[in-house]
Amino acid sequence: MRDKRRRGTDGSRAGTPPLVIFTRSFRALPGTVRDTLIALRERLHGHISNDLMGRAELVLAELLNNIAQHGRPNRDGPMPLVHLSVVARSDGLSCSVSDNGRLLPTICLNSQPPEPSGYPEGGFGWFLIGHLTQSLAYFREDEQNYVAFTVPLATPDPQIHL
Amino acid sequence: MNVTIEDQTDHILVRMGERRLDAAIAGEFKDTVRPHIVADGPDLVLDLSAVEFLDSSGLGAVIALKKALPEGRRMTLCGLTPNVERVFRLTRMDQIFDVAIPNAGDVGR
Repeated sequence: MRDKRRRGTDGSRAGTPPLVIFTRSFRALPGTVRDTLIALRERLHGHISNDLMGRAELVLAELLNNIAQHGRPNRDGPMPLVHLSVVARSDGLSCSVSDNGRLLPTICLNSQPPEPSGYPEGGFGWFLIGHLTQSLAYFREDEQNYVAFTVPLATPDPQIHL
Repeated sequence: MNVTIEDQTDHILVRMGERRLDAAIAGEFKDTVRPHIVADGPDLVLDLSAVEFLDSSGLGAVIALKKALPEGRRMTLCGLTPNVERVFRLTRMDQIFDVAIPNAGDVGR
């Protein structure tokens, strides 16, 4: 992991902007999630639009808070350890999140939003994640959850882009 | 946490002074404001103009406050920044809130 090589394998880097990368490892707690998102915003400032930043921050907040709130394997155990990686690319932000918390119910990946008329106080998180991302993938291996996705440069809903 | 609650002539103005209304402080925000709104009283205006980031926990706190209002007491939101407005719109929770338009010249939502 330490010998990060700067050269690309396809030689296509010439003339393209440098990659902007953000990585962090932390215990999943509301405070560490917040600190991480603030650091991410600072890292990406000036490299991506406010609109993309806002969407990515929302997606990551929902995902990371979900781990902090539901991922703890047992009451007395440590909070899950999260590894976050975000790479700014020409088509958007590529994100990967892994954690050693509890199994993520895969039904979450197709979540529908709750009905507004019921005044729901929660249940929005996975809907927002699914709505704002592309190529959302999840798998579990060796007691770890892995989630990867792209937050696209262009907003997924054309009618929002006024 | 930076929240101010002021009696205005015809309503109570709750101004959220924090830049983030997220999972880290959603519970505290709810617990701070709720005691001021559960009894009968004037309508409520919640000013979110300082809030640059809202997640679903923050949204849940705002909804919980609306639910805590007694019958007949209304709640209006104002000052939604783009990131905050997005969350209300995508979750369709903008349907259950009155959102104040800042001024007549403000085009779009």
